[in-house]
Amino acid sequence: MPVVRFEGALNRHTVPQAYKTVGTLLSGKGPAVFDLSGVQDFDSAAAAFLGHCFMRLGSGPQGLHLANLPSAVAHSLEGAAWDYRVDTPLVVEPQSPFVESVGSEAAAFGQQVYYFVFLLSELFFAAVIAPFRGRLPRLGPFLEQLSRIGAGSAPIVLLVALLVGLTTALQAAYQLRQFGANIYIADLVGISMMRELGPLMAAILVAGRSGAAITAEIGTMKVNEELDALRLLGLSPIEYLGVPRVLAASVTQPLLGVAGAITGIAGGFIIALTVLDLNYSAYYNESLTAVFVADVAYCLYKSAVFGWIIVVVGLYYGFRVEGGAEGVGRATTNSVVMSIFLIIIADCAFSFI
Amino acid sequence: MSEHHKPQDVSDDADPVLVQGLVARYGSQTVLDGVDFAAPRGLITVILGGSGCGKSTLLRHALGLMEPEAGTVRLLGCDLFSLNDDELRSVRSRIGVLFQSGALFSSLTVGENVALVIREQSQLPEPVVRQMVRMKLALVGLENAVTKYPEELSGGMRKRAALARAMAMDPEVLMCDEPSAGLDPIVAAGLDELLLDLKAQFGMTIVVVTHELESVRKIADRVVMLEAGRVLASGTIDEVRDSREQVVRDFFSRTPRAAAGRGASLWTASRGGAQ
Repeated sequence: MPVVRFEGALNRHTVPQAYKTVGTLLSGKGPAVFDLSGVQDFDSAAAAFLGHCFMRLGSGPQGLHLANLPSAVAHSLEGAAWDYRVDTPLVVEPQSPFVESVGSEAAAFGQQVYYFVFLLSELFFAAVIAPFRGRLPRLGPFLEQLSRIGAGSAPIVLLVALLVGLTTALQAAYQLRQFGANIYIADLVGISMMRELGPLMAAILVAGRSGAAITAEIGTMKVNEELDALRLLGLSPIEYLGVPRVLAASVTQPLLGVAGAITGIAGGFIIALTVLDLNYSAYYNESLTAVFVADVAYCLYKSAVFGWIIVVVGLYYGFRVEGGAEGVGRATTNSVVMSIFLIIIADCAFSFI
Repeated sequence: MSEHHKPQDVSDDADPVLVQGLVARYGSQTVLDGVDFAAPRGLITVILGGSGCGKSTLLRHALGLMEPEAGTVRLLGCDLFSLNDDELRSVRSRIGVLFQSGALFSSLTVGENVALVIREQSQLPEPVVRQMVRMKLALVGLENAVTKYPEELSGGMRKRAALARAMAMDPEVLMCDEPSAGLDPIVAAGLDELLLDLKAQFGMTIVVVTHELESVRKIADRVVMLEAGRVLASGTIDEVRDSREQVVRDFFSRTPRAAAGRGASLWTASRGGAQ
C-alpha cells in the first residue's frame, strides 16, 4: 500500500505541485495512505485537494486513508459539508432534442413576429390615430428627442457627408479626366449624394448613435422595473417612450439626409474648384440641372423610412431586453446590426421601385 | 513570491483594519470628517449609523476604492495609498468583500462566480477548483445551486452566494456592506449566524456596515457609531449604548426625532400645512 508523506505547507501555493506529484504516483485506483503529520499550514485549497483525492481513490479500506491528521486539518475537513465523492460541472448547457429545439426556435420566432406587429400597431395608433381623438403627443419629450436624435447627430453626419463628397469627386475625377468630362463630376456627385449616399450615410450614423442609445436606455429601464412603474402610473411605455422618438425621427432624419447630401455636394464643389480647376459657375449650373426637385423629395421620404426603421428596431430590442447588464449589451448590439441591415435592404427596395 | 510583492506586515498583533483621521469630500460636502476606526483581529466590528452618515463611504475608503482628502488607511499592516499596483492587488487578495447588492456577475453561474476568484488568485488545477467551489457553496448552504444563474436565485440566496464568493480564497478580513439589506428577518438572521460561524471556525476579522439594530445586538463584538461623518461612540455594544451622546441613545431607543432628522420635520411641516 503506497504511503505518501506530506511535509510543510499544504496551501493554495503548494497544492498545484502536490496535485501533479500525487497524479503520477497514484495513477490507478486502490488503497493509499496520506501521512499528514508534517503539515503545518492548511487552507481550503488543501481541503479541496484532499476532497478531490477522496473522489478519485474512494474512501473506506480500499480507498484513501488519511493518517496522523493534525487537529487543525481534521477540523477543516470535519466541517466539510460538501459531498466530495462526486465531481460536478459548474455550468450545465441546456440540451434539448432536435425536434424540441426546432419547435422552441419556431415558437420564439413566432413570438418575435407577434411582438413586432404589436409594437408597430401600438405605435401607429398612438402616433397617428390618437391625436385625431384629442390625445396629443407630449411636447416636452418630443422636443428633447428632436435635439438628441437630430441636433446631436448633425455634426458627425455633416462631417462624414463632407468627406464622402470629397472622396467621390476625387475618385470620379481619375476616370472622367481621361475623357475630358470633368464637368460631369457635378452630375455624379449631385445625384449620388442626393439620391443615395446622403440618406444612407446619415441613417447608418444615426443607427449607430441614436438607435443604440434607444435600446440601451429602454433596456436599462426594463431591467430596473421602470417600465412596470410607468404601466402602473397608467402610462403606456410604448406611447410614453416610443411616440416622441418616432415623431422626432420622422422630422430629423429627412433633414439630416438632405443636409448631408448638400454638404456632400459642397465637398465635391471644393474638390472641383481646388484640385480640378473647374469653372465656378459652370459647375454650379451643371449641379442645378442635374439634381431635380424629385431627387430631393426622394431623399426626404427615403430618409423618413430609414428613421422609422432605426427607432422601431431600437424600441423593439429595448422592450425585449432580458437578463440584466449582459442582456442590455446583447440587445444593443443586435439593435444596431439589425437596423443597419434593414436600412440597406430598404435602400435596395427603393432603388428597384 | 518575490520579496517585492510581499506585503510588509508590521506585526501580527496590529489591527488588520486601521483607519486614522479620514476626511472625505464629495465636492463641497464633507462626508467623513476625521474618522478613526480599528477592527481588531478575529472579532466582528460593526459600523453603525443612520442613512447618509458616511458608513458606505468609510467602507469604500477602507478598501482603497476611493482616495481620501486626508488621513491614512492601513489594511493588514500596509498603508493602502502608498502601495503600487502589485502590492495593492496582493493586499486585496487577502480581503473578501460582500457588496450591498451582492454584485454577482450575471453572465456566470453561481459556481463560476466563485471559481473566477479562485482561478484568478491561484494556479489550482481545475478538478480541485471545482471541489473548492462546492465546498464554499456548501458552507453557505447553496451546494445545489452551483449551476444556477444569479437571476434565478432569491435575494437571500444571492447574498449567500456573494458571501461564498467573498470567502473563496480564505480572506483574513471580510467586509460586508449592509448584508441584511432587503432580506426578511429570518433570512437576515441566518446570514448573521453564518458570519458568527465564520468568526468561530476560521477566526476571520469581520467588518459589517449596517443600520439593523437586531443584527448588531447579535453579532457585534465592537461597535463604531457614525453620525454626520464623525465617530460618536465606539467600544462594546453596552459601552456605546450607554454613551452620553443623545443621538446615540436615540438611535438605540429608536426615537424618531434625532434618528430620522429632516424626515421628521418634513412630516410635521406638511401636517402643519394641511391644517
